[in-house]
Amino acid sequence: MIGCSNSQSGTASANKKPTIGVCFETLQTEFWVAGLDAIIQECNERGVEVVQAVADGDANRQLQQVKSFIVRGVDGIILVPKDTKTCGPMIKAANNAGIPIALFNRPAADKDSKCVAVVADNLKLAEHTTAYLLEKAKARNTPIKAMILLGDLSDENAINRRDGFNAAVTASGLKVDVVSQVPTEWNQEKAQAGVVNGLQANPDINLIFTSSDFLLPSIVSALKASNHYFKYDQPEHVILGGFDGDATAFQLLQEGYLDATGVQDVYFEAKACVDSVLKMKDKQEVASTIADPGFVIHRENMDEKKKEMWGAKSK
Amino acid sequence: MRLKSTMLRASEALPFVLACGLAFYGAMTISGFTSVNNCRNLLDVYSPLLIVCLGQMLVMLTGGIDLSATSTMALCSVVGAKLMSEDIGWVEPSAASVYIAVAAMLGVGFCIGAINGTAIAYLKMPPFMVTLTTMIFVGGLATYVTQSKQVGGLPDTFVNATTNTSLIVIVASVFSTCCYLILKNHVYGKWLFAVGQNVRTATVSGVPTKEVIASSYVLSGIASAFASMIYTGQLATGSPSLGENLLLDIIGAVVIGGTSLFGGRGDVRLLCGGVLFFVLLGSILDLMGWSPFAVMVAKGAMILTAATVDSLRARWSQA
Repeated sequence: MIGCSNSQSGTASANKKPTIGVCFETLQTEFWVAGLDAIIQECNERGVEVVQAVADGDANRQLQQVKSFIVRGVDGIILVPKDTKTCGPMIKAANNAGIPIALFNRPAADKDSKCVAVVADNLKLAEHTTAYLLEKAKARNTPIKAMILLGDLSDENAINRRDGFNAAVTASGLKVDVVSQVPTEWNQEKAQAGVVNGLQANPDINLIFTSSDFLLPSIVSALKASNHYFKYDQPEHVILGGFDGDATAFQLLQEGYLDATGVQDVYFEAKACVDSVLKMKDKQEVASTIADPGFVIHRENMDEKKKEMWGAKSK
Repeated sequence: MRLKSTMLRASEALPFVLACGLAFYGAMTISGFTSVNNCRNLLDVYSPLLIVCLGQMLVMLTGGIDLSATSTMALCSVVGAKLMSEDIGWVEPSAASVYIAVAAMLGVGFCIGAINGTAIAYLKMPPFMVTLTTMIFVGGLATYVTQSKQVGGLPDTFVNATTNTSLIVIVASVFSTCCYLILKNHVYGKWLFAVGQNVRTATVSGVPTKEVIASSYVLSGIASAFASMIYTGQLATGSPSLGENLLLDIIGAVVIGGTSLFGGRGDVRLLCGGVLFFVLLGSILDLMGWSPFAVMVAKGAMILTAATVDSLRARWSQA
C-alpha cells in the first residue's frame, strides 16, 4: 500500500485545479495514442489539468521530462516508462519531491520505490489467447507449426506475453513445434523481415502469435507476399492471434483473418491511473499494483465484447 | 558590402542569440524555469550532449561524419554496466570494479573510433558508409551482449559521481576548453581545418592527413564514451538502446552550432551555443505542456528556421 505526501507542490493551492503531468515513452502505436486520449478524457471529466510530454523512446529524455514536471510543480505524474529499469531514477525523483506517480501499463523493476503500477495481466491474457488459438489448431488435426513474434525483451510486458504463449503451449499437451521466434524489439520493419524469413524457412507454419497487434500489418504483408493470407474458413488459413486489441485487430477479426486477440482495457487503466494519483495526492492509501483483467476477443464472442474493445471504438 | 559584413558578424552569434531568446521566453512565461532545480536539470542534459557534440565536431571539421556515436555510447554503457553491476557484474563488486568499468568504457570508445578512423583514413572508405556500418554492428553487439535486457545494480560510487552536476559540468568545461585551445592555437587544430578545406592541398602542404583523419574518429569515440558514462549514471542502468534517438540531435546541434557538414568550418564557442539552443528548446517545449504532436511540429520548425538562417550565413561568408 502506498501513500504520498505532497510537500513540494507549492504552486498548486487548494482552490486551484490539480495538474497531472503525463509522460509517454512513445506515441508510435495506436495503443499509446488511445491510452493518452483516455487519460486526458478522464482528467477532463474530473476537472484536472494535463501537461503532456513524449520521450520518443529516449529514457534519458524521459528522466528530464519528469524533472521538468517536478520543476513545474505538478500535483501528480502518470508515466509510461520505456522499460522496467530505467524508470527507477524517475520514480525516485518524484518520490523525493513528494509527488505521487503512477505507471500506466508497464511496471517498475524496483519494487521498493513508491509508485502505483496499473498493468494488464499480460501472462494470463497471452496464455488464454494462445489456448484459444491452439484449440482451433487442434480441431484441424494436422501437425502444429508455430511462430511467435517477440517484443522488446527489456520490456516486462513482452517477456510475460512470451511466457504466456509458452505456458499455453505446455498446458495444451499438444505437440506444438515452435519453429520460429522473431525478435522484433517492437519494430515493424524487423517484424516483417522476420516473418518473411520464417515463412521462407518453414512454409508449413500454420499458427502465428504476435506479442502486439501493432505488428499485424507487417504479418499481413508477409503472409500476402508468401501466399499464406486466407480467411478462417479456408484450409490454407494461418491461425493468427495477437495482443492489445487495436483497430487493425478488430478489422481483421471482422474480416475473418484474425482468430483472437487479448484486449487490454485502456479505459480501465487510464481511470485507475488518474484515480490513484488523485488519491495519493489526498494522502489516501492505494494498492501498489492494480491489475487490468483484460479479456480475449474472438469470432464467437465478438458481438458481445466489441463494445469493450478500445480498437473497435477508435475505428 | 559593409552591411553584409556586419550581418555576417552578427549572424555568427546566431546560436547564442537563439538560445538567449529561448531562455528569456522561458523565464517570462514558465513558472519555475529560472529555479535552481531547473538550471541543474538543464546542465544535466547540456553537459553530456556537449561532450558528444564536440567529438562529432572534430570529425565534421575533416569533412567526415560519425554516425556510430550513439551506438558507441550504447556499447560503452552495457560493457561498463556489465563489468560493475552489483547484480550480474562480470567482476567482483569492489571499488576497483568501477575503475575497471570506466577504463573499459573508454577502451571501447577508443577501439570503435580507431576502427572507423583506420577504415576511412587508410582504406579510403566513405565516412558515411563506414560509420553507418559500425553503427549497425556495434548497436547489434550491444543488444547481443545484453540480450536486449537493461543492466541495473550499478554501484553508488559510479551513479553519485555521474549524477553530480558540478562534476559533469567540470568535465564538459574541460573538454570544450581543450577543444577550443587545440583548434585555436595548436598545429593539430590547423591540420583538422586544412584537411576539411581541401585534403589534397593539405597533403601537399605536408599535413599528415591520414593520421589527422583517423585521430579525429578516435577522439569522437572517446567523447562518446564520456557522454555514455554520464547518460548511464543518470539512468542508473546500462542500456543497449542508450542514445538510440539522439543522433539527429547531435548532428543538428553541431550544424546549428556553425560546423559545416562539408568540413573546414567550425568553432567551439558557436557549438556551445548550438547545443544550448537544442537543450533549451527541448526543455521549454516540455514545460509548456503542449500536445506532444504540437511539440514535434514546433521543434522541427524551430530547427528548420535555425538551419536556414545558418545556411544563409554560410552563403554570405562565401560571397
